[in-house]
Amino acid sequence: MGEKLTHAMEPHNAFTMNLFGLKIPVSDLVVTMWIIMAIMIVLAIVLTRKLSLIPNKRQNIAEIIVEFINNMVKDAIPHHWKAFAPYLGTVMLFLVLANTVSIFNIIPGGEEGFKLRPPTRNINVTVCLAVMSICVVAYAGIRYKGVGGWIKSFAKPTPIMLPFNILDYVIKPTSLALRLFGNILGAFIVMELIYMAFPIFAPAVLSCYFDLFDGILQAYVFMFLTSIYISEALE
Amino acid sequence: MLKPDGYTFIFVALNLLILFFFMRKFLFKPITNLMEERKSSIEQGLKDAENAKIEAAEARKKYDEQIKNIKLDGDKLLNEARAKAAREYDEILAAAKKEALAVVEKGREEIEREREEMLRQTKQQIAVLAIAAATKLVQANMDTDANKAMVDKFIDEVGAI
Repeated sequence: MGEKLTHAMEPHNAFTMNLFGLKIPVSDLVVTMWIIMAIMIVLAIVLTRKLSLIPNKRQNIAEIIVEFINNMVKDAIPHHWKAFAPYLGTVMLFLVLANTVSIFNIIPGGEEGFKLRPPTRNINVTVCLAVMSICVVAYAGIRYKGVGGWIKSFAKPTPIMLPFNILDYVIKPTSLALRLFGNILGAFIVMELIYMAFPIFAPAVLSCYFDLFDGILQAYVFMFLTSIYISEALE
Repeated sequence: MLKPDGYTFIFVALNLLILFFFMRKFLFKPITNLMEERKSSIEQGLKDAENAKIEAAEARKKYDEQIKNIKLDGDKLLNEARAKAAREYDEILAAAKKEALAVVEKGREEIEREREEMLRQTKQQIAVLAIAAATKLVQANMDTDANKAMVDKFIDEVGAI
């Protein structure tokens, strides 16, 4: 049981890429991410075919998603929302799919083969997402305040705050990464244990909470906090 | 799980960038632009409707004013016509009155003249009769002229009384 659990939690090498004689191991996290990306890109292209001012059903779905994200970003960043909504929306949509991807395991079993498991259960993925987010925050500061203004903003409101402001740029991504990682891994382990312990239909209800609700909530929180950090950087 | 893995990190970063550019190009940019376009077109439509409403109201006001003016003009014309008619009526009436008066006057004069004529003739006849009567009565040999004068005098005296 412990071995099973460890096997589920750890990333595996799906295959090894050969790039200019360099052997690059590609883990199943990345493969899962590619699958999610492919689904997202195909959906985006399919839903936005033949756009018109009078929307059809496909376009309505796309509009609902985009408007929902735009409104959330508008609440946090009233003036420059247009510059950041695409990135925040991408992260949110990706995380929603990545956190809930274990629901879409249609093939039963698959203990030894490839199985869809959330890529965000691995610290590397969440740290990468958090670092990207903080890069966007820094970009926002530099882009809308100038380099000088951005550097000066570290000494605000008083120069005493300088070390804390610098620490902010470490603490923010750390907290983002660890919150996401911890939540998803915890939910994932709990679900694995439930699958082992319970009969076949019982996990469905719990899966609704641990996979769906928790996954979507964490995606929302990640995006919301990133947008708050951006708006702080723009002040 | 907790092992640092540079490859995965780099892969995720690249994937995220690629995904971001795709999503921006295919989902966020077009839909956002479309929604703004729709919003502006709806606003434009509302503005146009508002303008049309205002224009219609203005036209209505103008039309009402014109109608009012027409009514006023009509009233004025009618009043003028009425006044003119009244004036003409008065004039005609006055002329008629004058004419009637003149006719009456003329009639009176005519009557007066006829009466005088009658009186004269009567006097003459009376004189003749009187002379004849006197002649018959008196059977005197008198100068007729003298008699006549006498009779005339007598009649005059009688008339004076």
